[in-house]
Amino acid sequence: VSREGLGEFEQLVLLAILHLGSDVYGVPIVEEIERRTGRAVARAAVYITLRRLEQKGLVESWMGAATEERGGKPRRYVNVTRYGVRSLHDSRKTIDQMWRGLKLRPGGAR
Amino acid sequence: VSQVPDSPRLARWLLARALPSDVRDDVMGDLEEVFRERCSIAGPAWARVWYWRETVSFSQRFLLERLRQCFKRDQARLSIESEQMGEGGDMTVLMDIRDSVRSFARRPLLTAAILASLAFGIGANTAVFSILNTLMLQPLPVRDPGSLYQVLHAGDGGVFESSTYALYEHLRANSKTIAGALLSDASVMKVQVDGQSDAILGQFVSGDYFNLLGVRPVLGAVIQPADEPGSAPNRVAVLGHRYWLTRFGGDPGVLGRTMTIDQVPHTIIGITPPEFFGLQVGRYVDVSVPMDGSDDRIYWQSKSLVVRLAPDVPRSAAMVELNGLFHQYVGPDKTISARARAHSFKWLDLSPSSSGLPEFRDRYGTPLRAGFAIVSVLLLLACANLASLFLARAAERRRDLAVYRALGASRARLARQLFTEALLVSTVGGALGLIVSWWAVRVLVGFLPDFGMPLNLQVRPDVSVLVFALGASLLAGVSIGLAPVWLAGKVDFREVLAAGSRTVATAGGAFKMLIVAQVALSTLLVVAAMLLTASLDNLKSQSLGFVADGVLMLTLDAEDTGLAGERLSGIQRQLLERLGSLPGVSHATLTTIPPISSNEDGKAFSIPGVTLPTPDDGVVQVNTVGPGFFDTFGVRVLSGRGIAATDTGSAQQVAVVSASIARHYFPGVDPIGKRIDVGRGRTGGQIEIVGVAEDARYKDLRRPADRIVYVSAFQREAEETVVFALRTAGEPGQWTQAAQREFRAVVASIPPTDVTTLVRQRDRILFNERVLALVSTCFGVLAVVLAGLGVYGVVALSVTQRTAEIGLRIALGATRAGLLWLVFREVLGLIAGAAVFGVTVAFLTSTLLSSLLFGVQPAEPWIYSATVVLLVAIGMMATLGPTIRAMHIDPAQTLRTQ
Repeated sequence: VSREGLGEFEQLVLLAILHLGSDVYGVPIVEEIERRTGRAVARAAVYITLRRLEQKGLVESWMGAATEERGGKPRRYVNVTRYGVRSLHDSRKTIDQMWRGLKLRPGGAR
Repeated sequence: VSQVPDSPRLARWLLARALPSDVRDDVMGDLEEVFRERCSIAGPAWARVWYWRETVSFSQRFLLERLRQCFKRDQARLSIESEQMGEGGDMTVLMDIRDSVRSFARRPLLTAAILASLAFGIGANTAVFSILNTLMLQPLPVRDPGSLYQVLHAGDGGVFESSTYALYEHLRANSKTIAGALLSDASVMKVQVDGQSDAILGQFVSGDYFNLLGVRPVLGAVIQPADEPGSAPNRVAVLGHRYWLTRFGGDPGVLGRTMTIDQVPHTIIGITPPEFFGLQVGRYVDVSVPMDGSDDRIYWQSKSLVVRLAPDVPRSAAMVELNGLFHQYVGPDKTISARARAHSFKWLDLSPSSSGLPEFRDRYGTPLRAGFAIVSVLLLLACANLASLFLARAAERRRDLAVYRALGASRARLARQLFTEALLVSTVGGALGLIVSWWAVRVLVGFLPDFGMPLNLQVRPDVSVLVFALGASLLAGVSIGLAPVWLAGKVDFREVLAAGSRTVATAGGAFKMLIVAQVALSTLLVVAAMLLTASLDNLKSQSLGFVADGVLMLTLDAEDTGLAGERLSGIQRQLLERLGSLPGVSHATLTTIPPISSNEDGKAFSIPGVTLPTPDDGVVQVNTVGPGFFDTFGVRVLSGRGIAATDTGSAQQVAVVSASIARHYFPGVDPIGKRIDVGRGRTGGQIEIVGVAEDARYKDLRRPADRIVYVSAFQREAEETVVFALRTAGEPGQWTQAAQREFRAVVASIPPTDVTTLVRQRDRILFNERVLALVSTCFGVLAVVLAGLGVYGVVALSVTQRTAEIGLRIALGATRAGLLWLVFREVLGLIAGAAVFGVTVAFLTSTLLSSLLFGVQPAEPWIYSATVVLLVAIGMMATLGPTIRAMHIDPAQTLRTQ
């Protein structure tokens, strides 16, 4: 298994899924990230990241029912796999280790 | 609940193509969901803008993602093992395309030039092809057009399309090989609706016209056999869809209303479908009325007879049967003389009419085909030019190619990369070419003359036009790509890499061939351009015998109006007076045969007491003119006087004759005062010649002038149709409104038809020559520029490649003059050879143009020598720049870098 760390955006997406809990799909994920970070997110980037995360096995997905208000298209519900959760922890740990013992004042000066 | 608006369809379509299939449905579903939410918050317009922005964003990011993955895969494979042809599938092709796009994006100016020449070449070809396609290939929008044939009668004099109602009935009643027949006769009709007069294009049709064609009305009914005037009490009319929309605003209540057509009230009974325009491509019939079969048995009228062959009857069988019936019909006809019989009534011919009647096919056929040949040569030239450009690029990148080879790329892989570039360019060029052609078709159609009736050539692009453009693009791509691919095949990477940059020119042979091709092709175009321009000059500068500038003409057509005799004559006089006193009008007149018109009035000519040697000798054209004719048209009166205002009914009958008549019938004698007769004694042999006028060309500018007798309009019965002409002090079109006002003031019920200027008439008759001269000159100049650029590019490359050699020569003491000669010698030899080759081909093919030339021989020596001189001069100019660079090569510098 590759030990390649998670990118920042990948972490944002994974965390958003975990925050939302159940019935998670693309639309609420975008809203959740925007709400928490206060920044606009490129919607397409979220979907590409989701696809990439699934290809790496960090996220699993299943199709819901097609509904009329979606133009007859189904929803793709997603969930973070156990491997995904572990990768998140690893990333957090790596960053924490790098931060330990470091005190920075806002503005960049040490 | 209100209706939810739809997300933009085009955007959805694009998205569906851009997204990978595994996420397509759910992503689009999510977008749809958010779109609806946004509709209710911000309104549908903003939601649509949002949707489009997301579409662009998603397409861009997912395509990049796809490329990124391809790239990763390809990189991995390249580093592991030498790539095998074919295994890459669409991924490596995508990579090739990406690489090509990048390499073009690095040189935007060059790329723009390449695309422009391709777009222009393919566009011009596609434009000419789509007009040819519309005129000659596209089927009529009627039922089973393939079984329609026009019946023509033919003899030693050629083929004629006029027919009679009686023949139509005869064939319909007796033939077993045809499923039906129809007659149509198009003409400009004067209609009045709600007191307003228009002149529109109409047609008289036989009763079963629409049924035979299978044309169903969109509204009401179409004409039925029972509607023919012989059998119906009141007349009916069927409107064309376009006329119904423009004149009646598409009002369905128009059915049952009455409109006056040529003074006869007609009831509107139906509307034809929008795609139906009649049987003549290029004309749009605004109204159809039933034909009155009882009024003629005479040939030489404009009726077209079309039959539909019965199912499974071959044309040959129908020919045999219809010819038998034809002879049965014309055999006993005493009105057709033996000469006429041999000339035009020997047999019947069936002309395939699946794409309509042939009027415009015949009229525009020659210039369109010649134009097609010219633009094809141009496209070839552009291809040769781009091929040498691509070859030069490949030669420049030879080192890169060698490195790729060394890294394990197969030859096939390199060839594919180079080919992809050529195809990419030609496809984009072809797509741009379609846009260019769309525009060029409009310009071209605007040039086409209408020959007296409104022209409405709706060029409808169809699949064959697309296929044509695609084929042209592919052909261009292949011909552009072949040379560099061939070069890539020859790259030996060990040699190139070992030799560093000191390489031998590997593409010399191919370059030379391409240069020869370019110069030879441009020679062809230059020769054609010079021949056509010279003959247009000859046609324009020859003395026409009249002054075309400043003459406005309007036709007063009183046929079927009930106006005749003294009343009509009075109206004509009154009009003439009022038109002549308009400010800025120096002269006004009326005439039955204005210069350059299709009007004819051939009459027998005789001199009392003199027997002419042959009867054919006695036919002249009689032009009935008003006072002021010679001043208005600028025809010089050589001796005596012109027709004057005093030449009226009570005075002595007078005539002015053309110089050709004076020369022919009165050699060495002064004809003034002599008596003549026109029209077989009906004038009593009492016309006195009072003047001799200069010869003027009335019909064909290529033929000698007709013999013309001018007689006074007010000394005889008023002519039903006369042309009023004004000589104006400026652009004659400015007097149109004023002249039309005078017409309305005098005869409100008859609108003037055929409002035109003499210059426009002249230019119309010279249409073929003008367009061809213009087009061939444009393309000739373009060809010379292209060839010059091609020569420049190749010479520049050759000098670059020989930098080391030249540096060495300078170091060894070669003189500048010697070096100049070194470069020049090669190029000059090449160009001179190519020019001679091109001139030979041009000479051999120039006879194809001979029917279009006037006063120039196809083998005119000065044109050929001028072309060779021109091309050699251009070649030398193109060589100069790189040569001067070669002379300034610093030997120390070059030798150090090697």
